[in-house]
Amino acid sequence: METHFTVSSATFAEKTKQLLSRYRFRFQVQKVTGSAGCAYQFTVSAEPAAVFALLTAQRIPYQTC
Amino acid sequence: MRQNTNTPVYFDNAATSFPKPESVYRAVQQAMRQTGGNPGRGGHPLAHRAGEAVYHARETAAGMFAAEPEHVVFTLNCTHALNLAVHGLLHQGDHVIISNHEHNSVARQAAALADSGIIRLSVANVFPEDDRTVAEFRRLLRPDTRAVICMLVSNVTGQILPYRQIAAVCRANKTAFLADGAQGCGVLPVTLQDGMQILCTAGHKGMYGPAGTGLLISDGTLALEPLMQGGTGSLSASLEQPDFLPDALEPGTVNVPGIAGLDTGMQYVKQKGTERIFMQETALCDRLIAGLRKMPDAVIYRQPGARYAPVVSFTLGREKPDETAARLAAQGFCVRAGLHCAPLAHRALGTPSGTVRFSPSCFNTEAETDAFLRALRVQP
Repeated sequence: METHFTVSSATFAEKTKQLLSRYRFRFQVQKVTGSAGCAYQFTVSAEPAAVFALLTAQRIPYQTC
Repeated sequence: MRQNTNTPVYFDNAATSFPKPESVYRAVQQAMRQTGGNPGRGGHPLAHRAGEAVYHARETAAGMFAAEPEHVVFTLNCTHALNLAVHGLLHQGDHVIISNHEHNSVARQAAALADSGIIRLSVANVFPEDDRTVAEFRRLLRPDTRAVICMLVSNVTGQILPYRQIAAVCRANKTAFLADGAQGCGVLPVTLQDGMQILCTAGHKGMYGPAGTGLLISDGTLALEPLMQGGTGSLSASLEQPDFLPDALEPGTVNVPGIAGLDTGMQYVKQKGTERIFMQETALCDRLIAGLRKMPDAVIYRQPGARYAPVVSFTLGREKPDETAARLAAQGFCVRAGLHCAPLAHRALGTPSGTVRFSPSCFNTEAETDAFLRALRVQP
């Protein structure tokens, strides 16, 4: 199971990377250009519910793909 | 220990600290030579490396000041940070209180906004006794007071203002408290837990970062309108400035080498400890004051009952402060004389020609202070 989401700012992308690493999630991140402009696209090897619960708890502004 | 005895002895650290820790020089050079990219502006390794370096600095600042990393905004200097805060927060009709010791970084903004009819301004007197100062701020507070903007430490006298008590008074009145930490950060254990909503500070003074660095640190409760708009690397398809921190207040490419140096400077301060730095520098100030007291024409601008950070202002008899500073410079000592960009404070002190300001860093020594006193005694 993979979870995909984007984060629009570099600061929150870094915060997200650290957060996912701290909770031992396996993930990849790529800078992409979407409809809203530049963003960081995360692919996490985990259930969406677990990932999004963590992002929400940590107040990370993310968009689902 | 100084390597080069021909280097002037520098006691002007309240203006900008010098020297910096060796680690700061290395970090700046490493950032310029190896980090390379523009944070948030590309997907290539050097852009990522720059993004990681900047975020690391945000984390360091967040740890130091008890904030969230995304609420740390990098600025050019403390004045820039204060402009972002003041112009970002205040609106037509707001009532604002500043102290009568404010630096022009606050006082000129407040005066300009008041002169143009945007805000109504009150100026609170600072007294040697904290209780009287707090009572003065309380007296001036009104239901429509939008903000108190106040320095933590006077850059002229070094007096520590009772900022925690002022914050408490503001909180009770639901008034925002914007703090100018230019002289306090790095020598006092300042954090957002002291009660300010916004803390602005220089990176190049007590935090030993390079010139061209400053910080605005928010607790996230106040929405600040951006002073400038521009590229942020985020939400690029929109013509509107992002409304979230730090992007809202950080348009344009940030000073990556400076921020890397500031990060290292903050780590230096953290490792050494603000209490230890305060005590070390205060010991040098006490040594200076003891020497000045033996000089019959010396006037030291300190008052009983007040608390002071390691800055000492003085004058020598009829010698103008500029003349004293020039005489010292000729003997290899760097101090600042004049108004120190704080005319309100000099009106309060009754020093229209200003003062001579002695401001050590943690790199200064007792021997340098003794030599400074000997140089002071050499009359033209």
